[in-house]
Amino acid sequence: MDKDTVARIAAANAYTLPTGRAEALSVQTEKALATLDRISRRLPFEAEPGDFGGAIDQASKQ
Amino acid sequence: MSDITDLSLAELARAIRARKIGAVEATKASCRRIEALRPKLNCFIAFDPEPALKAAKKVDAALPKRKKLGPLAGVPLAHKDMYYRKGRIATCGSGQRKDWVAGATATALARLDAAGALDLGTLNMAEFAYGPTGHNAHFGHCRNPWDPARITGGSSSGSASAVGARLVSAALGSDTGGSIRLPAHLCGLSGLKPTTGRVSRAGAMPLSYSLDTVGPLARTVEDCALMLQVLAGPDPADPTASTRAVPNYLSACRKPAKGLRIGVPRRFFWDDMDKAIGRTLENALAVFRGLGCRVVEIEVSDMDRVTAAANVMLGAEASTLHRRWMLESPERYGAQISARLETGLTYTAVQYIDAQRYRGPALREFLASIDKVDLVFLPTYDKPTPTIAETDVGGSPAAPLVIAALTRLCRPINYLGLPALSVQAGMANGLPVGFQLVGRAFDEATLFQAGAAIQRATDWHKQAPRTG
Repeated sequence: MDKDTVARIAAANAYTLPTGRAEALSVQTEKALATLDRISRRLPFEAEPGDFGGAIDQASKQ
Repeated sequence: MSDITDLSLAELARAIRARKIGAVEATKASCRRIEALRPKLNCFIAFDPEPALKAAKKVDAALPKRKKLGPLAGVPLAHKDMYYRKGRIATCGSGQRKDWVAGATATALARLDAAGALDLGTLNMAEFAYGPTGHNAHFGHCRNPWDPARITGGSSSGSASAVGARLVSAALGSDTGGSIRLPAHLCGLSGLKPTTGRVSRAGAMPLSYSLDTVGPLARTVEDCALMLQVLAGPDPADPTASTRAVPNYLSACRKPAKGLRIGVPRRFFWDDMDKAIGRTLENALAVFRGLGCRVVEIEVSDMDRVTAAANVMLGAEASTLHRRWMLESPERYGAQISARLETGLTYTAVQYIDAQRYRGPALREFLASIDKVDLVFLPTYDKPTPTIAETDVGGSPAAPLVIAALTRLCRPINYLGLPALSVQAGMANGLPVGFQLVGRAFDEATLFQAGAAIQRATDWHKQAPRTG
């Protein structure tokens, strides 16, 4: 995300980032968020957070 | 070093039960060592021996009367300062909670109490368990008993330092991204991150609802099994605690490792391995082969994707918990946690939910990649132990790199929710080194089986620092 978007999201949480911090965070999180974006585009439409509980429960029974 | 403090948790518990060592004698031996080494290691936040000594006297009085006592009767312990005890301050290693008094006792502490364990006080930790080095801006940096200039690892820094220096025989830590396994590796200990849901988190300070786990650091695998035997099981106070039956972990420790299939995924986990540590790990694998295990190379799913999702999940959850204090009293945070919490406030809801949505598929993919083996062998950390000075990066631009380097090999396992046991592997570069055994969900027993077998075949877990 670009630095303005980073600053806007922090502001939406009522938090004001220190000067220069939005740009630093934009760079710092760039790789992880790009990776997450690629994951997101490949996830099945039906995938939901509760899948993990089911998966770990089934895994223990194998 | 006194003979008593050199005993493992299981050895000490057996000796007290057999009345070969008195509980008061054991507690006083621990107290003497704490008083001698506490200033050097800075591993205690609060040391309060009186209640433990009082309880020890009761144990000594009860034993001749053949009263039924718990498996840890009379054994002095101390725990990371994030487990609440009613009426006692739980600082969580922080300025925000430096005077906060808990209103209820954590289930983990209550179960240790019921097992007869004594509690000598609270141990240093990373601020709110959100740091992997052992630095603490409020209570001072915790020091590694093998070399006080080097880091203990974190966030369970005081637990690792105190157990490593033989001040207590075991301690509770917590593991959200390696916070038990990394300090165990760096301080020459065994440490267990249980399956998500295996141990109740009620009364334990939260960092990340999805990733937090409660587990022990100790000197042997058998000690970790003994601790988990006491800690595991359902808890009405924590709906996420599993109702699954708790197996006999101690009997698993006595099983031979012969026939176990151990998978070794080289990609990602060995990409940047220090040569001396790499040789130590190959030696451990050779011991497993000698025990009759089948060691096979495997390919696992993409750990970079798992790490990216784990970081977003952790960041968003931690910042949700801390947002109020970030707005109302930001000056009470240290620089590093402050910077990390800011990061979490910049993720969107969609990003957080995607990180959650990927967790099930990621676990299934990982389990498919290990379906031909019983457990997985991984390094815990792949570099020589850094000094406190070179990792004292606060909230600077270097901090994310230091944090990522230290947690890189542990964090994916928290996201996958699987159990992982860090076990001593001997020495490299003059300092202790460990490896992780990762198993299927709720199959801690197989990890104990393999870990205890290698400890019967080696003396790596018996090596002790020269702390004086």
